[in-house]
Amino acid sequence: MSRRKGPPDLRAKSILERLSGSSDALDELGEDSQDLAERLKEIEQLFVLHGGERPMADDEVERPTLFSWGHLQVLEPIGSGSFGEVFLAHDGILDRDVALKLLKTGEQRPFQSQLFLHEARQLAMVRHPNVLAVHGAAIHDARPGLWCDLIEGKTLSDSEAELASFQQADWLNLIESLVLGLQAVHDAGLLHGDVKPSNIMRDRNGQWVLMDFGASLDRQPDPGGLAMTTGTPLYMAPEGVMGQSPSTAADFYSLGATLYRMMSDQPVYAVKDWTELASLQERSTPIDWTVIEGSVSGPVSKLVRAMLAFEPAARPDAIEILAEIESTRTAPQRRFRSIAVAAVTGSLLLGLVFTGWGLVQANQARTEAEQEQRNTAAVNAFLQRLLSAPDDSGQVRDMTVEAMLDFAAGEVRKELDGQPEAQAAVHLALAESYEALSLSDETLEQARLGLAELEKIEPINTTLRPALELEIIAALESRGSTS
Amino acid sequence: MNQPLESTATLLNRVAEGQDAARDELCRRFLPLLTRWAHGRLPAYARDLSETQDLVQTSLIQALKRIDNFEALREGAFLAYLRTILLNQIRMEIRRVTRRNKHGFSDADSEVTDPEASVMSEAIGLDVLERYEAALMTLTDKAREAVMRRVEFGYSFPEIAAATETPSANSARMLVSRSLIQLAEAMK
Repeated sequence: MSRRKGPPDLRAKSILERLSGSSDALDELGEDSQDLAERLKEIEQLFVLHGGERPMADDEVERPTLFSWGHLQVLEPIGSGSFGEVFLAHDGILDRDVALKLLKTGEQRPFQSQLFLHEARQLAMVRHPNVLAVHGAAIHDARPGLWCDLIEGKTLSDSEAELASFQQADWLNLIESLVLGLQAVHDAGLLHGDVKPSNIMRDRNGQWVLMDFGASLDRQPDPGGLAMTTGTPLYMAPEGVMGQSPSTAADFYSLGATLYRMMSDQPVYAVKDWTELASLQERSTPIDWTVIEGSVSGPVSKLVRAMLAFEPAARPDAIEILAEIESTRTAPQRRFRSIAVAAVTGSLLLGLVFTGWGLVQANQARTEAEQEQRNTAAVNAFLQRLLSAPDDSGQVRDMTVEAMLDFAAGEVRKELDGQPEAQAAVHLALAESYEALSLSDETLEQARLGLAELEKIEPINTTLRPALELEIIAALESRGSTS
Repeated sequence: MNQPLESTATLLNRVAEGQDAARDELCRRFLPLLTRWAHGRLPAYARDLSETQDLVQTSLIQALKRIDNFEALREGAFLAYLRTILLNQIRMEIRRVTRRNKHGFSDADSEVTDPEASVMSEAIGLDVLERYEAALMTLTDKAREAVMRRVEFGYSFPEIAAATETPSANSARMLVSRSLIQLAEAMK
């Protein structure tokens, strides 16, 4: 038979639901095939052609009834245990199917009926989405019993496939649901007394529900005769194993043991009998944490560790567990906030650094610009004075460009004394002008004078120097080509 | 369906001991079920020639005559046994009618393309029916009984649970669901 893995074909699921009322088997097998859907469709056609499910004239009347218990019509057995039996029953008043739990009766249990009724009635007062709703309790035909919601779904012990893909958020949701359920039970003044994988169910809506308060309702005398021992040994708190009265902390130990089992696929202590378990518990034998540390996140593992503390007082209560869950849930947000603050601070610092550097650069540029401006102003003033200077007769001078340049060159040192950079700038301007007139010797002289002025200042002006050097090269080339 | 006061297995034991009342009770219980089943398995013209109920009664009487040889007295096994006998009866009936038609007794209006085609095979195709029957034989006895009861006899899950000795209706639902997947795989 071929097995193809992957999400089950929705059509196949839908047909299987119609034929059998359940497609869980398809999920388990991981079947996925259009072919499978086609074959199931053919089977469904056969089902329809054969007449489908036989019609009932009156469904309520025609449903097979095993017996009546009070107002309940008991339809079929759905489970049993040391405490008694569980039946599917129909509640005619509520017009709904319910689970009926009937306590075993016997000579050794005459006192139990009243205790059972008392606690069942208290449980009936607990209304919480994570606790199986008990509708009532009574004694009929000498059999004490309670009736409660009929949960259709999977127990935790049957959910190994789903648990294998559990992420931290899923574990936290599971733990939170169960702790909230336990808290509701404890708030009613009760203990669950038998928290274990098979007593936790996930209904069709994905809600985790604590069920089967078997231990708290079915206390049996301890063989030692001193204390009442309840619950399933592998999930029982050390104090319970040692015969002490259970407490709310014992329920949280059992929850820790249940989680440990589902995370590691092994019990906290793999023992064969009570004696061995009691011996390990009495010696406070260390628990092997390595088996869960690989399968769950650190915070989840830490929660389980806390619940499995040997001393009841060392175990967290519901409020502490819920706070830890909330803290773990928000840790990524807190980390994100820290990272965000660090990032913003870093950006600001970087911004400041860059801004500071930019300011330095800007200052430097401004200084240079101001210097350049001063040079230009000095040169302009020099040229203005030069051009407007009257001759000896008092008339404005009428002269050639070459003569004017020669005159200017003679005035530079006197006019711009103490301003070497400005003198270098005027020498460059004169060199460029002489070069335009192809007077290479004068060009060369002005350029050399400019470089000489630049030598006087520190740091050397990086704009004028290469320009002056280029003028020298041009003048030398020009002189070489003419000679 | 009212809950039987006695299980089929108990009734079968009582029939084996020669108790006529148990025989009557078994007939009363299975006759409607088998009649409904046979209705779709007979060709339309064959249903005209022989009352389906007569055919079923004949099959039941035959089965109960051999009850001493019937070792598995479970209800599920008994129904599978009845189904086999009934299928053989239907085939014989079809052959008988077909032979008679060949000798000139046929009604022209009732002529069909395939004289052995049942209502079922005409509706869904002989190929599907054959693949279904072949695939059914690849299943375990319990799975086969569960599928037959659900698909062919329209049993509810509490009824299947009781007949297949499965603890609860939910378990029966899972049994049927798994068996149907196996059946579908085998029908490819």
